[in-house]
Amino acid sequence: MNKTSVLVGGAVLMLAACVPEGDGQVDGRLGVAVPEVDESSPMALMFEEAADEFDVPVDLLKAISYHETQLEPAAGAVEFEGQPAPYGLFALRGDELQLASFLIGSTVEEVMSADDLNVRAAAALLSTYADDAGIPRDQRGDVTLWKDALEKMGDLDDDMRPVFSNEILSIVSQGLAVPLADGSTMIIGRHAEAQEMVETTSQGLRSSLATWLPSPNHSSRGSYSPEIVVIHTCEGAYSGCVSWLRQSRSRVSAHYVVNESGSQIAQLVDEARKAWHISATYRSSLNSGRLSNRNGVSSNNFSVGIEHGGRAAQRTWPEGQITASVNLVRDITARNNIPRDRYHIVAHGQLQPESRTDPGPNWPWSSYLQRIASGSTNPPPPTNPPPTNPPPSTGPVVTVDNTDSGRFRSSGSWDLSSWASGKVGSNYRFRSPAFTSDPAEYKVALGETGNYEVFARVPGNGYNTNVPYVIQHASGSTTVHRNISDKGGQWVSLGTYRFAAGDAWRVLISCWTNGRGYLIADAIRFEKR
Amino acid sequence: MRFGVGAVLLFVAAASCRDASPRGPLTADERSALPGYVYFSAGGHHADDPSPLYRVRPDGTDARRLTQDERAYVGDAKDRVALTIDDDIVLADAALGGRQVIAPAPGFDWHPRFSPDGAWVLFESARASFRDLYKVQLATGELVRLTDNREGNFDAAWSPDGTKIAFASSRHGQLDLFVMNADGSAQRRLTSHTGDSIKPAWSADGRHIAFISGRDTRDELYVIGADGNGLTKLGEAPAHARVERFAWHPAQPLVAYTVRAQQTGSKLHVAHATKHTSWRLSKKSDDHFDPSWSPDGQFLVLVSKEEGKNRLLLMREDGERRTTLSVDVDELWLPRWVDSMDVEGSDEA
Repeated sequence: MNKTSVLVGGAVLMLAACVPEGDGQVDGRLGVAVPEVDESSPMALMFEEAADEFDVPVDLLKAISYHETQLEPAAGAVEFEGQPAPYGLFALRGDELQLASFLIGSTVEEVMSADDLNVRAAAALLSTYADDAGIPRDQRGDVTLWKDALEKMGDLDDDMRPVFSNEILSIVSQGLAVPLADGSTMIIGRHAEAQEMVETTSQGLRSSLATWLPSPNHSSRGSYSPEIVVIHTCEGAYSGCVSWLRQSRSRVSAHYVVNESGSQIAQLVDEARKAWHISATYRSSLNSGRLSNRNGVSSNNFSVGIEHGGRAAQRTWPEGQITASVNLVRDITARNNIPRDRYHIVAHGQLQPESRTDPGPNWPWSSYLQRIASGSTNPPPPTNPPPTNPPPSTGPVVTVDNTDSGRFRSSGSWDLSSWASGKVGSNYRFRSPAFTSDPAEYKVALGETGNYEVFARVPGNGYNTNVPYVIQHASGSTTVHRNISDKGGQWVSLGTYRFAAGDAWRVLISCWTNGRGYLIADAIRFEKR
Repeated sequence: MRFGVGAVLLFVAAASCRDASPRGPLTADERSALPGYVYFSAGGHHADDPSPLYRVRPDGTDARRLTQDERAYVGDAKDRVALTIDDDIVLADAALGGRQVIAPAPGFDWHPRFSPDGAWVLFESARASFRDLYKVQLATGELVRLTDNREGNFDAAWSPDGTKIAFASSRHGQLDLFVMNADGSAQRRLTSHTGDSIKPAWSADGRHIAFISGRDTRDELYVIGADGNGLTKLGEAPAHARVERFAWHPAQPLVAYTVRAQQTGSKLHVAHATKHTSWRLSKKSDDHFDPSWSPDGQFLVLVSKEEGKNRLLLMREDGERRTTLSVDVDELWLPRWVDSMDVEGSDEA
């Protein structure tokens, strides 16, 4: 038995490009320490011997056991009433347990309780199914021929057979290193050629942004499809979170886990499958024993769950993690045609209607949802800087506000707001850009002839990037464009022009622009130079 | 959870009980003249907790717990109270006797609203889809599905004349406001923005619809004409804060709303929908949330968090006459002031 040097973190690791040759190449995305791994554990030997005896690929045998029990023997606990109890490293149960026991000449009780017999029985079963599927004995080493045989395992219904075979082939196509209870590590060798057999039905159900680290804790969605995305926090670190959600005994999972820095996203469950991320006991004790469509089981049916490394109580969330999560949710919602709003992207615990608009106190919900909806991967710009004083002036100053009677007019498309704190007067007008002029118009009276610098007030940040201002002056009309998106609380200069004393001077703000953001009509100001 | 049935009024304002000045707390006579009942829920902030419903007269008498291990919220009141209890819409009398589940079905229902004439109840349901809007005629039990699209329809609100329904819908991939006729016809989009627009509510004169929108990076209060014109931001929230809930005055164009900031708690404001002015009623140290107007519009009831405990607080729209209603219930929230003339029913209290 050779020794293989591979990467071991807190969780089971994928071994793409690492094994079986054992050259110890490290997957940089999982960059943690690289201890020596001794593959000659008693459990590994059991699998090798059973695979040799019954002529089945050892990595398929290991993958099935990993998928069924995470290599921790099942002890007969029944999950659902009426279901036969599962036993041993392969969770054998019912008729299949009897058949497998018969094949190796052991009693059912022996196969239930002895690990080595459980492995031998499963290997014998798999070998029988291979014969049934017509795999030639001399070609059994080719894992790509095993799909039909795998689909006979587990006494599954027709819907679940391809899901199961797909899962096993997916595991061997990438390889795994599974830490065992005795401190050793079980290697499931990589068979890249199996990738071509991994069912195309999974396409679109996994995110290209995530690393596939499968959890056994999933089940059928029934007739449901993903309709909402539920945001969770791990209440702990990413590594431990992923590890726990991938243990069958945890009985919980999520489709995705995003790490603290945002450098890594793990996908544990295919989106086509139901992950167990919302408590199955949700309200069941409060509901007079009545099975409710609203309980946690059914919420899992139509949701995609995302865990985030960290704790709900933490005051801030790392920008990298939020950005990774934004991109992930954009990807999930795009592929599943889920609307990008707060009724479809919800916090765990916010599923009750009376509080559903009250997301948790610390997750940056508003900007998070806005970034998901708008496609911006950058944090929103700060808004409402403190107002700045107008520039010093030496001559007469004339200010016209949008609230000044007889001095301002605009169409009803210019809406009124009092929000931005850098405004002049009690409010200002705003409207969206459009390919029509529809100008807001100021009328200015000047008592003295001379050169005046003209300014426009910007009440807050984030407004249009290319505002057309039209200044009618003594020599005609001049149009200038200004980016006001970062000029909140400032007077923006529109240039210096000559005006004669009189009451007919006009400044217009057109809405015909390719700039982004609201156009703003607050106040304008003339200062004599 | 404990509940002192012999609830009494406590005065928290600085003015002493002996000095019943016009600016101090309400006098005993004034309190007893207040109309209706205040219903409120307690607990239930976590998904596994029950949220029992309580009721108290606004003078602190006749206090009682109305439900036990259920999640109960008052949605509306006419001659009966319309509630969400667990997954169902329930009509009941003022003391929650004579309960009747309306339009029962698997899948949960909530947000019940009586039509202005009391003949129909409008609600939101997951019975056949993610969320759609339905109404049921109380006399006949006739159920009418008003919307049908997979992205969902939410937050339905009758116009005061009963001819229109405002609601939020994700049918275009984002939460926008819509208005339709009360039979579901002529569905028309009022807003279009990737920042969610939710919880539309009509002004008493039917001319304005107030709603919450996150279009400016955080939830704030907006008002739009029922014809879709005149979008205006009515209640602003500073950075790192958000408008949480709001309530129209029963007669005037006033909206009470709360702004919650992470550091400083929640403050109560009132805005005038046509003058575009607003004022803050809470003081700097106050933590006030979940406002509800009295049926006559003279007072507000809200939750005041004081020394870690939630209390019911009455105040006038100018912030004066603060009067604490001392009911000994932990984690109370969501008070709703209902006119006793509406819900006398078979209450035998």
